[in-house]
Amino acid sequence: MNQPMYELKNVAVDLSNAAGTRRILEDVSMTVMPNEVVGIVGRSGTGKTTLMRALGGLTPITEGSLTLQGKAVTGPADGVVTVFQDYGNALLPWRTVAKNVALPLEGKVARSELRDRVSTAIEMVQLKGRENDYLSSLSGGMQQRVQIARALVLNPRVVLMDEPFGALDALTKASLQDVLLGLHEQNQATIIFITHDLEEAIYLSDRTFVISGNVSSGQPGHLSMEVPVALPRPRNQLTTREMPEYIALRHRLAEAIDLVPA
Amino acid sequence: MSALASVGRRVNWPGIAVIAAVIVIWQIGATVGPLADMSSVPSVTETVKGFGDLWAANELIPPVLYTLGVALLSAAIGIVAGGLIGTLLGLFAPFRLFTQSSFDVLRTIPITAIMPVLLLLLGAEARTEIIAASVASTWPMLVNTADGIRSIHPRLDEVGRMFGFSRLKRVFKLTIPAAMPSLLVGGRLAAVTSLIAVIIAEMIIAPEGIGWALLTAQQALQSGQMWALVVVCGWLGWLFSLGLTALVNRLQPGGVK
Ligand SMILES: Nc1ncnc2c1ncn2[C@@H]1O[C@H](COP(=O)(O)OP(=O)(O)OP(=O)(O)O)[C@@H](O)[C@H]1O
Ligand SMILES: [Mg+2]
Repeated sequence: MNQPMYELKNVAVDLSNAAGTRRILEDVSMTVMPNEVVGIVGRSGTGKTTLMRALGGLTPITEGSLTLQGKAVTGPADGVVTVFQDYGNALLPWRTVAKNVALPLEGKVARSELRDRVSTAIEMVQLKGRENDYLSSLSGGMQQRVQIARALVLNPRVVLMDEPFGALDALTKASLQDVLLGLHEQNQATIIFITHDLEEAIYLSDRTFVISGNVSSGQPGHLSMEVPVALPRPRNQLTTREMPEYIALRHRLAEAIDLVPA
Repeated sequence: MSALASVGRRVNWPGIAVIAAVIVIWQIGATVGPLADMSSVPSVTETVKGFGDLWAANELIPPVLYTLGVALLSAAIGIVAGGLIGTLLGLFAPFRLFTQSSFDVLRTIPITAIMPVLLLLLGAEARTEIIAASVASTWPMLVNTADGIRSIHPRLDEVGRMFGFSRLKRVFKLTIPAAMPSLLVGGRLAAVTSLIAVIIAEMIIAPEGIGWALLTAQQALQSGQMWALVVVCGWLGWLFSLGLTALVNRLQPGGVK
């Protein structure tokens, strides 16, 4: 149980496009324990998505070592699912809600088990009654919940989320944050999420990393700060956010990412 | 809501009124108007008579069925061939690199220009007609399939990789369904192209079917019959697209539009 879920040692990632090869991430070291909720905040273009893709095995690392439960990550691993920011591209518009959620289980479990697990996952994200709807008749927040249900139906070890609530309005965002925390309480899963929203990072996480850098001017992204978040669980949208510790953490993070230029 | 009332609402009354007006003007124009002296423009009544003559001589249904059969067969061949080649073009960049320009050149040759060549090579047979129409209908299917597959967002394939799907499973579960709207557009164009090519081929290549009947009526100066056949061709095209639309709506679930 004390084996880390993820272990990153001096990880660097280079990406190439037509303009040439660039170092996007450098010297990233971190350890994530099972069942932990870890937030990653940083300015736009600092390599957050790239880090997430490396964790998910979608982008190979260039230097250093990246292990998942002791095994080097060389591609998408079993039990690791990513919730992409662009749910519009990541979901299947020609399938109904239930069929979208069923996708990862098809051909892997018996029909009756599939039906049970799909309906449980749909219930968890509060989409009961919309099983047979096509995605086009769902709001953005509902579509993102479909993607979350599709991740949960696998009972994953790790859920990676890239700005999962970025495109949503404040109220939908708050309710989905609570859905996520509720799910984390019921299911043993490690959650790593990216956000632009400092408050979201504090509200959800056990630990938040700040990633800084400026890839365009030759300074690759790197982890510049690690902030433990010792706020009590279960968290509450009102009381948690009014705690002095919460305000102090918010202050620290804001300074770390230069929210208010000196 | 009674069934009759709902049909009543679906009927396009203004559209019907325009058609009726055209028929009336046609009849007046062709009997007393400036076109009355031109034997090549029959009146409505002459056209209806031509229709009746063809029907009585049993020269209407057999050519229509023949043309329809050949057109459907050629469309099916074109759709399968175009779908397969288009899928390969869409999926494999190296294949695209080597073959794209050849296809682009071949595609621009009008099928009517190839028909005399095919006639010389293969003879005045149904087989030649089917080959010509199949080739013609391959192109729209090929182009739409390849474009449809290439324009799918790469995220979809990553979703498949993330769930550990094999390449084949990703193609069948993700790529092809995602490209289905383009495939259906291509299929519809292929079918319509096939019908056009078959009618032309019946005039140039194989003396059968409605295209040949049309040419025969023209050469016999039977303008009533000729126009009756033109109207039949119109119906055939209309029925074809109606059937295809119904098929497409069945294949394409409500979510994609
Ligand atoms: N294939 C690529 N080749 C070269 N550079 C790339 C490539 N993909 C991304 N980059 C660059 O890497 C940097 C980090 O990108 P990344 O998407 O990881 O940032 P991010 O922190 O997720 O930003 P945002 O908050 O805006 O989503 C950017 O400067 C981007 O332009
Ligand atoms: Mg990003």
